[in-house]
Amino acid sequence: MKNISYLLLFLTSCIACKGDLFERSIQIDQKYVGQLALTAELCDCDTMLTIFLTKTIGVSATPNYLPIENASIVLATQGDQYVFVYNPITQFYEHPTNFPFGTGEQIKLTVDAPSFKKQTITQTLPPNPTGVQIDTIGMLLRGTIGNNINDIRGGNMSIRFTDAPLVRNYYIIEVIGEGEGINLSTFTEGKLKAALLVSSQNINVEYNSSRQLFINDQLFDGQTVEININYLAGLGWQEIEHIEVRLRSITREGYLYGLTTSKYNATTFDPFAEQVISFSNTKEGVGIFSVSHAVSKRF
Amino acid sequence: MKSSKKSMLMLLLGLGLVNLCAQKITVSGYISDSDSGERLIGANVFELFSATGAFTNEYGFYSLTLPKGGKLNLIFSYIGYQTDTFSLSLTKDSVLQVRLQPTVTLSMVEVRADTRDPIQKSTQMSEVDMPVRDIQRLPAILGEVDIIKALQLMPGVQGGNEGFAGLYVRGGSPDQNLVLLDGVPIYNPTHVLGIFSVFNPDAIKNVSLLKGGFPARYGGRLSSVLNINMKDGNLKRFQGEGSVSNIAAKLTLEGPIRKESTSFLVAARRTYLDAFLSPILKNISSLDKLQLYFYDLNGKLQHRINNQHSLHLSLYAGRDIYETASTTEEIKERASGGLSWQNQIAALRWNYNINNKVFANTTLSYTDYQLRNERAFENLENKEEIRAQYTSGIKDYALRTVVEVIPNPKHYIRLGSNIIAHTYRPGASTIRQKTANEKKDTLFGISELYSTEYNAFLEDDWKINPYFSANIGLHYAGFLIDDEHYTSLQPRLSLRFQVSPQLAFKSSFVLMTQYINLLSSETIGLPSDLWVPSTSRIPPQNAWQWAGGIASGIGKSWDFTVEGFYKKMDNLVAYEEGASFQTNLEEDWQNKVAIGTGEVYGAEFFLNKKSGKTTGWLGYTLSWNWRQFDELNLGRRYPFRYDRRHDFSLVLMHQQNERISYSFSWVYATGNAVTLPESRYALSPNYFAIDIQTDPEERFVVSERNGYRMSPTHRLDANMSFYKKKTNYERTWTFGIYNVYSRINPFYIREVKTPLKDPTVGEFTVIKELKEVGILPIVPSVGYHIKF
Repeated sequence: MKNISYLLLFLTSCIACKGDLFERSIQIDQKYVGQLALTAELCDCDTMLTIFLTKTIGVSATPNYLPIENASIVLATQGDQYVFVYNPITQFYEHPTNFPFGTGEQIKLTVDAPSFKKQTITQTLPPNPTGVQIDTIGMLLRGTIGNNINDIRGGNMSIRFTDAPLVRNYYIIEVIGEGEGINLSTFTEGKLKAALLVSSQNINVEYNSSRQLFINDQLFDGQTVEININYLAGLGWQEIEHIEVRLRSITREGYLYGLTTSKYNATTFDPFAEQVISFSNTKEGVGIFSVSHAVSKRF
Repeated sequence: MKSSKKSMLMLLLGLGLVNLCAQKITVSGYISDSDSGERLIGANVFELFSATGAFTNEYGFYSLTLPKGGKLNLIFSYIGYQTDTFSLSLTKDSVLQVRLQPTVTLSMVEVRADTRDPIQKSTQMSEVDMPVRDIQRLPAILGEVDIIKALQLMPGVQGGNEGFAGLYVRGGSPDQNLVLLDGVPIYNPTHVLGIFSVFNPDAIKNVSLLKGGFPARYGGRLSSVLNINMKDGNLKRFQGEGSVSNIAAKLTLEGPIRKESTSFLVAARRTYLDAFLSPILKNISSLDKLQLYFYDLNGKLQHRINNQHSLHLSLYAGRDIYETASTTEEIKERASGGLSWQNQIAALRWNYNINNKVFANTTLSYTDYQLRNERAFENLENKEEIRAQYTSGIKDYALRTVVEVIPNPKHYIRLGSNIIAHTYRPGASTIRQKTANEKKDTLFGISELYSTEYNAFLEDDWKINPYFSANIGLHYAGFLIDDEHYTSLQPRLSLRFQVSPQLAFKSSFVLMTQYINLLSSETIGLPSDLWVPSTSRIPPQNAWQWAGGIASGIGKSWDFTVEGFYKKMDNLVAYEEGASFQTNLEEDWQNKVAIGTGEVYGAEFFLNKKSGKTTGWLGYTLSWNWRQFDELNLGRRYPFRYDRRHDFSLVLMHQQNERISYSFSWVYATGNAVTLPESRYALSPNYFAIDIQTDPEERFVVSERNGYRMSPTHRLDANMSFYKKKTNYERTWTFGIYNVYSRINPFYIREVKTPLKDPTVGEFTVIKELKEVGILPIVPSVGYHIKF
């Protein structure tokens, strides 16, 4: 019996001496590092079209991001070509003026960056909703917002539109505020233009990222639908001068990218949340090229 | 008549039982242990001249119909017992109560298993029948022998995370196992967040696991049936056994209340880690309460009214309690929290031996599983309190009747029905606020749901001729919830073709339906696990499974089986991506789930040496396990978390002499599939914020669900036992080592950030590193067991 005890003690001591009993370092991310990463979500509602191009970096790497500066980016519609130019200050590839997106039109993006394979991604602009009516319900939030939590910080709206039939359509609703406030990223005071918080009890809303409502027409294909939304000014806002409501009709890829990106962000700090898989339509890289048409109303 | 001195034969002739066939006679009765009176399950009776045989059923009853006239040579045998042979001349139906003498004593040097039914003779395939005695000889973590962990060493059975008592059978998830203790389902058969199972081996008589080829008498789950029977209690004399190990103490007492007719069994187990840790932690921290333990209580009462009727009452209660509380004196605040869960079951069974060919049993049962997770903050000065509690659970009342008819040796017919009333508590949360002036309770989620499940079945184990046998059955099931009524007809078929005395081909096809689901997080297990029913929105789970293979007896000592299987499952339920059981508590759970399919296929190899000084087995499983949900992984199919390409186990048990035995097990398994971000990039700064120019947001790329593999797990465990017989008792010292070479078998992956100073510029940079974390390195154990 004593011998067994000694043997156990000896074995335990030997193994305890070998170092860490509980952890082992691993490398898992190397083969995905250094890929092309693209954010090209283009809406005909934006005054300037911007594309953001970076490299992927390791999960455990220390730099925050690596922009790609000398790529050639060309957007081709049916009949026209638009060249995007890199702006070193903003780090965007920009096209300074908007141009029309036609329903059913094929729009092709070509990205040619040194050290990466040339990327060509095509998107077809989805049909637009018709008969769009955007109305406020009751009081509209506008003007100075006090610091009291009980101050009125939001309001209600309704959006009514008719969905194009026989095709799966995807919509994103946003309410954008313009005014004065504190940019919570930079903690600087000044002009703000940012999405307000939105919510809706409508059953057609597939997901609410709190800044965007994701809706697909599975339950109302070809029908007229009315969606009531509540909006709320978040922290930082001091004064709202204008509110703009946008109903964007977006490609399936853009919708899925937005949905997965928003879900991922929303669950980052919830240890109980199920993991979210990222959508991408960039081959041999990651990210999105999508196009959307917006109907908006400014108050 | 030849009779062993150690056996007892009670030959009751002329009982006047009905002879159903004029040209034949029927011999029936019970086979039991001569020392304890415990009835033996699966014991063999064989008539030599007619080469006809039968087995005892789950309650020790057998019935054998033989040609009338002439001499009979009856052989009664069972693993671990001395074989008894009787030469008789019977002219009419007779009852033979046979008591076999155990061979397993301290003087046993060689484990005999040649009396077991050869594997190639049975129609049933995909079955694991593990003697409790073998389980008790296997190496065990912290000295706690565990039935489910022993089963994990068999091909086709996995434990999920290394060291845990999970049960993943042929790619199924844990809710797809019908875990029965004396016929009553146990909804969470684990302790310590899954490290131990709830079954106390000292109170267990029999363990049997079906991985496929399910006979029609079983239903309600897709992937396996784990049938565990408790001992009935010694009818002859008072006896007991007890043990202490690194973490727990056990005591089992059994004996007659009235000799030969009424017996009892009581078994208790409790861990005592908290008794040592609590005073230490209280001294070095602000903890003022630490409860960290589990316990099990098993009870059984048996009353044999006469040879035809007996009553059995089975009870089990087990609970895990993990609670802490600490007080911060400076601010007079007390924070407490805890997690606890419990299983309770009760079953009253009436066995009725209607005649020598018909046996019936009726069981009235109750099972209750509850999970509770609580957090509280108290201000000790102003007596304000906020308390959040999350509870979930399931409770069943059931009535089941099974009739077994053995008209002749060619047929063994079972028919029966079952009705279950389910009550679910699918995750209700309460927040209770107490101030000096008011009390406020807020309830989130649904408090209770009700459903009724019923089924009826008919099956026949049919020996068609000496070469062919079949088990043919039909299982009809129904489920009522609200206004929804689901029904299903499930055919079951198992076939055996005997090629030679040593070799048989087997095949089976089954259709299964499951009406209850366990919603389980992919990221964590408890406390998110939630039992929920099928509803009008969530249809029942279905599966069909085909299996085929060979079973071969190699000499008297060896068995070899190879089985291939294919299982297709649909209407599987899983949490949607991004869903969290902890948020949106007021939201209906049905809005958080996705419905999909599963596909599992593979092959299992099993080589078993069952007798001799050295016994053991070698098992290998090659399998693929896929899931597909439209809402998960962008609709692409993905490997299940416990998809294991390779799973290998080697078990050796050696009885050196009557005082010393050794056992070793070595396991190897492909690493678990995990979902990990592969890289990250900067998202356009205005993606979320519309036109505000800010820094780019970090976007992690997770392109595949379960797209990564943790490192493979492998582990060697060893055990050594020293037996000694004293005047009034037997004692055993057991020394074991879990994970002998201290392999870090990964349990999870974490990111470690280490600040590193650059000596040239004197600035700190943060080095990030991913690490696989194991929780069970080398663990020595010592145990002391006493039997009196």
